[in-house]
Amino acid sequence: MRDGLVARALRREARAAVGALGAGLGVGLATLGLSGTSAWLIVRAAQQPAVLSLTVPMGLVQLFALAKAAGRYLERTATHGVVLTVMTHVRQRVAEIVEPLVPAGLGPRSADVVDLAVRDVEAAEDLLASVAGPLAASAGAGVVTALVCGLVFGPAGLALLVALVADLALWPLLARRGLRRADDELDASRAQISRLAADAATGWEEFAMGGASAPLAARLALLEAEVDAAEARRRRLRALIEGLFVATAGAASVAILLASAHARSRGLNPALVAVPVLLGLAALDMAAEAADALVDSGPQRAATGRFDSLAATPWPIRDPATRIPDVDDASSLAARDVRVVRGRPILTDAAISLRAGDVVVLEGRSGVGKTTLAHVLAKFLAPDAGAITLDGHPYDALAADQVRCHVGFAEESPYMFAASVGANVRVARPEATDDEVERALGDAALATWRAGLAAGLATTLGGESAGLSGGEQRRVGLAREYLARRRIIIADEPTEGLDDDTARRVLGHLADIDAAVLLISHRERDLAVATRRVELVEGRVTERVSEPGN
Amino acid sequence: MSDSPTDLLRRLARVTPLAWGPVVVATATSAIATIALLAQATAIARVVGGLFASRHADLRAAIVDLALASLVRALATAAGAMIAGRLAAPVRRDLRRRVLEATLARGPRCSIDATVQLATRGVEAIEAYLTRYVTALAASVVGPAILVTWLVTRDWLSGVIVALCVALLPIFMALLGAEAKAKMLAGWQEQQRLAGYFGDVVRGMATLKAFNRSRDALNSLERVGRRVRETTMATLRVAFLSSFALELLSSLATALVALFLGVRLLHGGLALSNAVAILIVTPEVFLPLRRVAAAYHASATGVAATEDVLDLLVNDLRGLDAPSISPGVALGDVAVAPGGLLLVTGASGIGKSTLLRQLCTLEDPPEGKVHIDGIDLAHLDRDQWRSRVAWLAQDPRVTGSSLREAVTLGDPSVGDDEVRAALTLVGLGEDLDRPVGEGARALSAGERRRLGLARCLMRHPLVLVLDEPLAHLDPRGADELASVIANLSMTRVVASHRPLRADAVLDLKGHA
Repeated sequence: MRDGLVARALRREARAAVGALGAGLGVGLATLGLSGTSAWLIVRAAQQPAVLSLTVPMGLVQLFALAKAAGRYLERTATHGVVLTVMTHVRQRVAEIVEPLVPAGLGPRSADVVDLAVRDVEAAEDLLASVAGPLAASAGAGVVTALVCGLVFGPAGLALLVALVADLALWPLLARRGLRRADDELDASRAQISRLAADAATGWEEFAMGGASAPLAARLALLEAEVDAAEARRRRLRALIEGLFVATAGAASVAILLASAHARSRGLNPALVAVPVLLGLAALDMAAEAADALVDSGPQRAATGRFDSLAATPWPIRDPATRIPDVDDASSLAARDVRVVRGRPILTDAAISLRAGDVVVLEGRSGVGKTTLAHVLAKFLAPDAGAITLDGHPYDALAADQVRCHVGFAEESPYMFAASVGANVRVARPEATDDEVERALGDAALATWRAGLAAGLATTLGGESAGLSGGEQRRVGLAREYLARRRIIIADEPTEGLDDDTARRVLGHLADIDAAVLLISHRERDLAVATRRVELVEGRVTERVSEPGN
Repeated sequence: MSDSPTDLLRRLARVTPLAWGPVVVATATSAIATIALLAQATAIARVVGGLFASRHADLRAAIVDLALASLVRALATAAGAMIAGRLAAPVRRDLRRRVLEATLARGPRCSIDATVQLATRGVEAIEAYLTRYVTALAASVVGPAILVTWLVTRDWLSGVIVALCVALLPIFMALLGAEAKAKMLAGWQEQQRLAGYFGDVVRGMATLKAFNRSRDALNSLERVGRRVRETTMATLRVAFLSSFALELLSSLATALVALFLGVRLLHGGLALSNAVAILIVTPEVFLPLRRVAAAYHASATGVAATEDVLDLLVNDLRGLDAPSISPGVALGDVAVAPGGLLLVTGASGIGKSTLLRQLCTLEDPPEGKVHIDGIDLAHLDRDQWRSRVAWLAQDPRVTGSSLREAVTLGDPSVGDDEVRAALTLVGLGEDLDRPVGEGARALSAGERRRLGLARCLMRHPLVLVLDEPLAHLDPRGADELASVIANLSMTRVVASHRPLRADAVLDLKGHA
């Protein structure tokens, strides 16, 4: 493993890891010992010696049998102990890496990047528990056996060593490029299929009513054909490898038997003739099992590599070195000459100001940089140039949390935690009472929805927002915002996905509270509450005179 | 998880009989591979016997046999992996297609995310469950059965020892295992909860930051992680007794077989080659059992996904035939004759859109609320009815890059003349190549609606359902479009704030 995040976490647990590996090696050696001594036992017995001379092999057979079982138990507990500890470190590190980067530092597909990081952690756990451990243990035990074999039986040990190298290194390496290509192709088609499924799920009514389900099914069939092609490549390689494992064991036994025949003709003790071949079979069974997991571990290994590129992502903003006193009761915000360049200029000399009582509607076509401006104003992102002030205090001198005490940002897709409705709203202010939470929900036009909850505020929400529509999620986000009681609120498309009537109620309350509101929107109906209308065009904010919708 | 993995396979096979394919293939190929394994063991034993007795004469033949048997076993193993995988692919295709169909028929089951997950990772987890777990399961039945039978015929004592150890396995598991299994599950769930908590914190980090709560969350993640580690280890220490049992029984079987073989060899009651073959075969009985235990853990996601997918794929019953000429429509007490226009009015949020969606079966209409030619809509065949109705949403989604593509939905077989006629009729001009922009941003809301109407008309529906077609149009445009709608010949149901010449009017008040 490269010197990455997982490797470093593993090194912190080096002693426990060595212990676990030792236990694994012990199991391997006991397995081989059991095979070797039982082979020795029966051939020796066939020589019909005095019963007493069988005591040693008989004792060893029983010893190895018990050692193998006990070793397995030790190995499982030790390995899992290490994996659990290492994964606790890894999780903590990944969370710490992600914290400064969201929401503005990971580009437009931020949620996908974060989601991938979460799944990569699961992959890393798999890699440690079911690939790395068994592989190291079986390689170690195999090599020790091959060496012992070599010392006692000469060429038979060499044959076993060659077969082990083939199983543990050569065949996995052979499959690696082809499998990686197949995995990449699968990922690409999978991404397209998930887009198609998302399309179908969001626009299902129009697909169903527009007679467009057939073209959709045809598109899916095309994508499935791509998946099939990649899967077929994968399958061929896997089948080849599995066949090779078996063939290697067969070839090795032939070679070992020939070597034994040679050794026997040169005076090898007949009691040992069965030992090398049985040892070889057991060692190769074990190696094939471990190598099989290795062959499939391409995606997991790629996953552990990604943490480090995530860690190397530059932070979108840093707090000033010294902390100045907090600002009291800020209620106005002014930004000018804001410039943000991300490959291309996104904001050039953007300026905007907000005062208590304002409801400024910020329009602009999608992708023009409205959310970027919001990120700058909520101090998630440091602009490349520009001056922003909170009640006259420059942003540069304030820490991000000092700004966010006063500036709220209601995201377009707020996250719903796998917790109760109450806990989800209380994210904004943990000490809030139930009454305050209820009021916040009511203010966000969720009273009817709240009334329908089976267990009231204690009703659990699903992990990934299951059970809530996008509109409901955005309103829960607003309820959080109301609970946080900040005087400057930036709301990103709060009425998206709401029917006109609900939208009107949501906007009504937003305009009513004693706060400066920046409403990002591209919907005409949101203009009803605007005290001012601005549009973001080519990186600049321009005032718009109100005009009736077309 | 209520079902055992085998029950689940049966349920899966009821939905898609193709699921049996991998099972049959895995059974057949693992039988062949097992028999080849027996040939390998016998050949090796012959060589060892020959070497022992210094009879070198038949060594060559035995080694050739060994090579052949190895080749057959390698081929059978490779072919098994290959064919089982190929047979599982149609299961994946079939299930994914049906997940899509179910989504289009009834909408996403819970969230859009969950539907996407089900169609991608869920369906693939089922495929992996079939190719990995189910084949391992088949091999774990066939392999040991053949091997134990062979052992019993070769040497009944060894056969009985091995059979006893295999039979003890479930008893052992049941005795110490009942608790171990529960603990294993508990440990696993605890881990899942921690992983879930971690995922929640990381995915929701932006939200936490917006409320200055991210530091708190990082601290509690560390605390929870440490606590979960302690409790999980405590449960796993008990849970791993089951792998101790499996290992102990398999190594005990080998040791006992070796000891009893040794004793009989000592007294000359057994040929050495026979004993060597038995000794080689004994541990192979337990290998497939170990593999299936390992695969079970890996298949857990597949099992969960299978349940989700099966829940989604409830078969719809076919309903009555939908009419084939424009029908009369009755919404509650208000009816309109074939070819007429029914106007639905009422305040915002009173349920006009819902009523229209029910008419389109996008939501299930309550029994007795909507009648088509006197037949309750709830009894009509849904797919057929939908194919004969066109629906214009309040904010139609537009796909494609030009007007032509947007109207034809990319179907190249539609003639330009027809497209042009429809566009002209709704007042969008004659320029088929006019770009609509990404997400139709080059079009105004009014134009998107006109485009949606053109798209509806292209389908020659028997019933046209329009939700606020005149909103966001300037007065002149609205009048023009109103007269276009008024002059159409099929039955129309229109929800509108603006007045429209209608044959019947349903004015919704209070609870509709």
